[in-house]
Amino acid sequence: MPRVGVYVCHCGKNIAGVLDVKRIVREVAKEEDVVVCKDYPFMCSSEGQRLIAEDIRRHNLDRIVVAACSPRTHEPIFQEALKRAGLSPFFLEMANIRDQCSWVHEHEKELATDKAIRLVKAAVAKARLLEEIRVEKISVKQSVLVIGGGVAGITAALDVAKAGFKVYLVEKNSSIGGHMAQLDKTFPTLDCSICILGPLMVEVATHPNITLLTYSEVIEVEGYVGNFKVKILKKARKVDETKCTGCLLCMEKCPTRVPSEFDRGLGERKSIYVPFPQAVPRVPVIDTEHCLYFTKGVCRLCEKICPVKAINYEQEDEIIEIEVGAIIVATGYEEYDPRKVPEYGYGMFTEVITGLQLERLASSFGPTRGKILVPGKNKEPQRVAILACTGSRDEKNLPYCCRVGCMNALKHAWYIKHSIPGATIYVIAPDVRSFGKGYEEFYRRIRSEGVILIKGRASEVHRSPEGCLGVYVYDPSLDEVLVLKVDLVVLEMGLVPNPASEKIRDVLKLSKSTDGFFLEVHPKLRPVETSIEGVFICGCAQSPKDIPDTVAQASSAAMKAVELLAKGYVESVPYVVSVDEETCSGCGICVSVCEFNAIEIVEKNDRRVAKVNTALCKGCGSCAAACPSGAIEQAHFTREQVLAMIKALAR
Amino acid sequence: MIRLALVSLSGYCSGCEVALADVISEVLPRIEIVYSTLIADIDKLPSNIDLSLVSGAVRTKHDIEVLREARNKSKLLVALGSCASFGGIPGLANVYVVAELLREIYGTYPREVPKLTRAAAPVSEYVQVDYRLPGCPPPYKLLIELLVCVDEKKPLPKPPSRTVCDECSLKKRDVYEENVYRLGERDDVDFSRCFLEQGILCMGIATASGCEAQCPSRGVPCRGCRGPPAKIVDQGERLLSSIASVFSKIDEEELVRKIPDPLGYFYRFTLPSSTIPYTPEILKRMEKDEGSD
Ligand SMILES: Cc1cc2nc3c(=O)[nH]c(=O)nc-3n(C[C@H](O)[C@H](O)[C@H](O)COP(=O)(O)OP(=O)(O)OC[C@H]3O[C@@H](n4cnc5c(N)ncnc54)[C@H](O)[C@@H]3O)c2cc1C
Ligand code: SF4
Ligand code: SF4
Ligand code: SF4
Repeated sequence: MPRVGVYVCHCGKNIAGVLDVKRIVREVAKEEDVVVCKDYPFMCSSEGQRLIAEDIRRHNLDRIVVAACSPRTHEPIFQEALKRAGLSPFFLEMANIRDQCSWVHEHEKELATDKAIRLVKAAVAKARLLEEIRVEKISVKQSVLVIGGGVAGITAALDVAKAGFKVYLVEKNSSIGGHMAQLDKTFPTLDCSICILGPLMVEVATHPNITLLTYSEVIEVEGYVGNFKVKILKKARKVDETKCTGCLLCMEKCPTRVPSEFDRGLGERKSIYVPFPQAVPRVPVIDTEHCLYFTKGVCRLCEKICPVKAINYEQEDEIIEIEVGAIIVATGYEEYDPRKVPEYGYGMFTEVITGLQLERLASSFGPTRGKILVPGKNKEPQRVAILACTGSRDEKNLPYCCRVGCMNALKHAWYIKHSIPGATIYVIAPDVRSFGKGYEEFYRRIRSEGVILIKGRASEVHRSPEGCLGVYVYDPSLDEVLVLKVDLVVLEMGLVPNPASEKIRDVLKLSKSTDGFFLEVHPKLRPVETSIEGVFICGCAQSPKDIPDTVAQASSAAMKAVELLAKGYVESVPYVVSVDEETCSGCGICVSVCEFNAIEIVEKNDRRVAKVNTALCKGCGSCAAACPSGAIEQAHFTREQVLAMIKALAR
Repeated sequence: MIRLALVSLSGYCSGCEVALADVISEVLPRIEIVYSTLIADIDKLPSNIDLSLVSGAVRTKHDIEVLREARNKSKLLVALGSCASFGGIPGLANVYVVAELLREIYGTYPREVPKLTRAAAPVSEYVQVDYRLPGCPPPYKLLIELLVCVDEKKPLPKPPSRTVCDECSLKKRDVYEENVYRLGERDDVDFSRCFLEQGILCMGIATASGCEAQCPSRGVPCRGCRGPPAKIVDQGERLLSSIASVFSKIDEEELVRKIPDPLGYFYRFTLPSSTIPYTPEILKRMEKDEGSD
């Protein structure tokens, strides 16, 4: 006969404020096999856990039911308590009488208590039937894959490398640096962006523990936490990285001119190029879509000029296979497409640019060498309107806040003020959110410098009869629609996930939240972990954020990866499924529902039967729910256990 | 020699008796028909029956009386066919209360119709059943097997725990179309491939094997007449959750639109023995209903 101990938690007032805890205890104590039944204000406190351990010893309990909150957050805590008392952690069953009862029925106390009693009795019914589960230790590969070489990926790679583990950093572009390399200065301190990022980029390239794979993409990931097998496509640069010295003579001689992606279309580059002078690695790539040799079969100037014979037109794409224990995804963001907010005339008027384009104009290595000139007009703007929140916090476009637009607007006002002191600058913002450290101070400083702030949203940008642009905005403090005559409009675009992150999502089978960014396990307590164990997210791949938050989160993801590697092993998932081959009819339903490719159909004695790879099974239970023959059993959720719960609930 | 009674209840179509007629030459030396209103014109149940094969669902007060009497007078009582086993097609009428049902069919409540029960029910609802041989009609091989076992006093065959897919020869690739079609809706159906994978609803996945997948192998998706396999209680529920899982990428509304009669699809043969409870509202209406018992 099992000996069950039941513990009903008050959770302060969360549970006890609604449910009659004493009545629950009285009723449940009458259940068969219940030896101990108690309530306690906070079961998860050390005292609460001690209570369980003590009773296990004193009353020889062998099954424990904790009626409290969500097993998702608290099951591990109580499982540990059982372990400490020498009982298998799988002899614990939780009844969620908070999230599923007291929180949702706060106005029907009596009925809610009745329901809670049933929930606890159902847990007792299951607890009686709980079985021991064996977990295995699987060793963890001592290396980490970082995807994306922005400031997030750079930080994470360096942290892991410095902790003594091997890192593969994969960046799809020809240089690392991400968006931060495009910025001129960074708010609120106005540090020169590349001056603080450049040294880190060089450190990545030279660190002995880091293998840098630029111009590369992850195309396939197999395996599971601790043992991922990764295929990386290293695209042909047409330049031999081992020979190239970075003299860039080839770039000088190349006769072609192509709009520069790095300069956001405002400047030009060659067909053989590094995107910016500080690029890491300082090895050019040939853009075969524009190169004269690849398009017309002529030229080959770069080959002739290269002093070390590094140009190799025959070089082909390569596939590299590696094995890693953990993966950090840092694929970053992209600006929201300004054409999707057509009322501001982006693409129609050359004088309308985005925030990142202004960064390039302000940058000393940008298309204008740092002189802010109106594109297409080539003269300094005297009147500028900066529109914060473009596309952001807007039900028609992006409902969420980009977290950098307000500060960007202020920073950009500063850029203009300092390069064109006499300019008139309007910042139009629904409200300025200066939440970060030093941000409010920065906001005051900009205000004190004579920038005009208008609370509201611009409704339209028009070509005005004078030839300049007219920005229409309703100013609530004047109760008037203003028409601002300006020479330049800067749109602080909302941020969206980098489109290239979609591929990574497919390859890794990650989930995304409604805004499209990668979904974390818990927004507060587990912000860098994902539903795929061993895969972590950080930076703007997880949600829009500024550099300080990006860096902090990248270090956090690195820490999680290091934690996994340093421990050296992972435990196999306990709640895996098994197939009764006698009952299995080979219909393959399970194969098609398993998100983790853990099931395959095999031929056995001339019959098709399902076979589960328990190393891949995550215990999600989808297949057990779908199997139409009833051939699949999930440990800890067996048919017998679930039926016992249903019977107890229905009694 | 088996003293055999063929008990045909009112909710029946005589298909099961035809199935028996089909195999009669093979089993004739083993049986003596002591009761049948249909093929022998003996309308009094004798005592000392070895085996009663009951077909049809229980639908009238009279059915219950005959059934109880047969049970009392028989050593073995077997539910033959899907109606006797699960309630069958007549069971689909259970979504109506009796008065509505009669009004629907006869316009007014006719005097000559025998008193109906509240709902169509499987035989097991009223008497103990020793064995179920479902199928619409039951597969003849299984019928012979059963009669031989009874005659030779061997243990009755074990009900199958596998499904039609196990016997189905159509080729599977284990990938599913991301859409659902009715059979006539596609003209490029590959009849050598699993129907369900091509998005054509086939109930074989949650239907007990034993029929040798006769329908799918002849170009017709399984309709589920053999009811659930041994480990499954509710066939319709299984079909529903399997199909919803497999076609989870289809927009929900679209899927619902594509399956206009889910009850008819998933519970075609098993509604009265499903786990679907009658709502308090329906029960109350049944209470007031003139046809109730
Ligand atoms: C106009 C503007 C100005 C800003 N100014 C400031 C500022 O002054 N101060 C501040 O704190 N913050 C500022 N920010 C925010 C700052 O840019 C971000 O916080 C930071 O760049 C985020 O870094 P990240 O590494 O997460 O993303 P990113 O910089 O976007 O880097 C992601 C990297 O991943 C790569 N990648 C993407 N997909 C793949 C793939 N599938 N495979 C391989 N590689 C891939 C990309 O090529 C890129 O290199 C500004 C933002 C904008 C838009
Ligand atoms: S769903 Fe069930 S019956 Fe079908 S192949 Fe998988 S385990 Fe076998
Ligand atoms: S429980 Fe989930 S992960 Fe495991 S085999 Fe079934 S569907 Fe796949
Ligand atoms: S056609 Fe029907 S019975 Fe045959 S394998 Fe497919 S689902 Fe199963």
